[in-house]
Amino acid sequence: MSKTFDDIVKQLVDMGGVVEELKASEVYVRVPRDRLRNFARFLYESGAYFKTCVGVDERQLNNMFAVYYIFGLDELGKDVVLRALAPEDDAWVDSITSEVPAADWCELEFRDLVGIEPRNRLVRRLVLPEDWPDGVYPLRKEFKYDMRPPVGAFREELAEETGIPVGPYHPALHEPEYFELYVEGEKIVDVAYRGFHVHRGIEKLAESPRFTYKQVPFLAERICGICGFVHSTCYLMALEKAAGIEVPERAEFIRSIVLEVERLHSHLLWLGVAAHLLGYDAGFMHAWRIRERVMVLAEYLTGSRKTYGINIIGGVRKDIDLDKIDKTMRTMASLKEEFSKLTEVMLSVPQVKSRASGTGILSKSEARALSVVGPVARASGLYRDIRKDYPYLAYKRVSFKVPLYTEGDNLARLLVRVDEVYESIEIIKQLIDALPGGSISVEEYEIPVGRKAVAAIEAPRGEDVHFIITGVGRPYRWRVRAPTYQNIPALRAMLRGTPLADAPLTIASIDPCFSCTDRVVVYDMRSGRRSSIRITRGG
Amino acid sequence: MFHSVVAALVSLVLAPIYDGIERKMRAAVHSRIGPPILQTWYDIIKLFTKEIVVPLGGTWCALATVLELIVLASSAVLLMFVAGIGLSPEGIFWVIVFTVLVSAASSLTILRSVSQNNVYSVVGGFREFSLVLSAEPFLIMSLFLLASGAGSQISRAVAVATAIVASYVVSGRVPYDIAEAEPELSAGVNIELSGPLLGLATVSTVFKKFVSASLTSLVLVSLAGLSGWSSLAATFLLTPATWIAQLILSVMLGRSRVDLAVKFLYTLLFTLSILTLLSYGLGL
Repeated sequence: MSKTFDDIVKQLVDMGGVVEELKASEVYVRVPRDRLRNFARFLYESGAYFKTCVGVDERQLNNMFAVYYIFGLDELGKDVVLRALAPEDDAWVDSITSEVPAADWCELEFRDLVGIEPRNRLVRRLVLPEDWPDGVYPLRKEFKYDMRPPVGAFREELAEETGIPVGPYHPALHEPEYFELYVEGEKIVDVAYRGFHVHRGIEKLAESPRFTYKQVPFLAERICGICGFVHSTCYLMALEKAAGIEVPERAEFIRSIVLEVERLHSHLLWLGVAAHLLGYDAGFMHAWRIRERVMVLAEYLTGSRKTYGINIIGGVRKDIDLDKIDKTMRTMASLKEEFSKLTEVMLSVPQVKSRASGTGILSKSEARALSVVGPVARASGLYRDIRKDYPYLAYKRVSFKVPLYTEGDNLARLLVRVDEVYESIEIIKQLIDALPGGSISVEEYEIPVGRKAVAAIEAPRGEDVHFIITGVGRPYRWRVRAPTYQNIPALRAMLRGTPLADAPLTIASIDPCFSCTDRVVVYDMRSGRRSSIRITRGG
Repeated sequence: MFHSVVAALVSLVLAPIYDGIERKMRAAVHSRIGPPILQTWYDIIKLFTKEIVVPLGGTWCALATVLELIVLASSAVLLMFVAGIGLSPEGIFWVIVFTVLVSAASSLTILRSVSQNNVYSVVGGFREFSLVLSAEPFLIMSLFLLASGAGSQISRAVAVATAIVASYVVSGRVPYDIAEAEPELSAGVNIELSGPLLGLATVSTVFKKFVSASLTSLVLVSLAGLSGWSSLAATFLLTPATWIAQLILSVMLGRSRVDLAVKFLYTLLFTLSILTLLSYGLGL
């Protein structure tokens, strides 16, 4: 990327955009809704990476609907947010999917949930179930969080299965999703996907009177059973950025340490699952045995094996003392040794290499077009790591390598995660060594209304993006874009041409987290029963 | 004859215990505690107390499941009978009958799979078919050559190697458990089975392992030139050791893919067979 941030902003203005807000790390540019794709094309061709888009019901603020398209300028470490407005009685925007295919899902999502129509593209229901009534949009402000709309009818009979179904319940999927694989012999020729079975209404709940700014981190942490801390941290980073809250350095270090602990247990979990899918159960058991050390460490540091609950606005609730430092360093030393032995043996098993290499290939160009993130992107030759590109928390204080492979196959994704475990161990050691003194949270803070911010974190599965518009006592709009959301559409390209036997491994190779991806409503399609979660029940 | 029948019946009772020992040892390798040694028996007993659910394949599936068990039990008994004679020209008729029974059991597994109205089962059945074609012809050939009594020690050793590899495939262990492949096909050939029918299939799986281990033991014993009562005793005693050796190999490997497995087996077994035939032909 040869252009500077100023060049890009200037060009956007020359094209007809209006700079609404210019911050150190992001710029908000209002653009005409009928020319969105021109702006998107310009940004995409300038090397920007598409992050997500968000539909917002802003009628209480300006009597309009708004969509935000968030692009990241990785090499500059800055975000460009395009904002287009649409009136209530004519709620549409120009689709950008012809220029940026990665915007496919998020456009369908704001169509389903906010009722803003993306024009000049094929549309279908993505998030809402088939029998959800027409004209009822859950993320509009008049829709109460506990409202139960009347059940409609199925639009059409569900298609009879013609391929090999994988899901909604399948041993290879640990959460309900549905892939229909079309095969010739044992070779997959096409894939149909149907997801969003387990929506829980988390974004809506955060905007409801049941939640306040202080409670949302605990809700956010329940988005995912593996990388929950990523979500609570990312929410808080967005909120703190919007409100201008300066988090104490020690708290930033503690958050970073816990984030890396989370990456370690997540990658070890995945490695075990991958070994199991390859029929190498010894690898599965030993990966999880080693992982147990990390879980014990997490409990020692935070009080919980998972869902730590230590994140608060402006810092953390638990400090790290000398005993914890000692325990962490000893765990890292033994972990490195045991992990090294495990991977050495695992990668020498003939079936692991022969089945993982050359299968589930995602080319670099496809990876770029679909804006895949995390190990999936790095295994396809895309040098993207939010910790490097947009240094946040204490990552600017540590030195580490970003593993990069160009093969784009299942083995490359496996190797990226193996390398990342070593890097995480070194990062934790460095953070512990450099842990500064001082307080672990701010004493006081204020959250002004109507502020916007984007935050991103490199989760174990890739870039996690949170967007927030502050409201009174709680977010006016909170959008979560989990990494799996961006990686699932790439599965179609990865599965085509792959042997059927390798489909579970290929699906697993993106380390899918369907809970992260599905966030909206629990709806029983047969009985028509709808339920919302209670904070006491967890997510 | 009497000794062989007694050995066979004792073996059939012991086979689920061998399987229990396998599970316990596998757990030890995994750093797990594992189930009790009698767990396989507990599983079988529990499955037989459940209600009968006719699978989607209906009569054909149930019939194939029952027949498969009968044929496998018969082949296990017959194998002990062959062991009582030794792999020699005197027992060649029974070797022929044994190979027919092993092939019949494989065919019934395939029939059971494809008769179920389930895509996973059908895919599993075709995988089983590919494996059978890749291994059993070579197994039959090597057994005939060994039973013929012809050839030198070297040529017999090559035939024994062929039989050992092929009989390992028959055991259905990793990497050749691709017809079931739980994470891929949700148990594949067994997906529609439950209750007593699954119990029958479980017993069949255990007997298959037994046939594989005792066949491997028998061909090793034949290499030592034993026959008669000593051959039977050696085969009977060597079987658990062979079973454990097969287990250890399976723990160290991952599951193969059907195309890779077929390619590997054809390459290996075809090469071994050529070597066997050459050594027999050249009188080495």
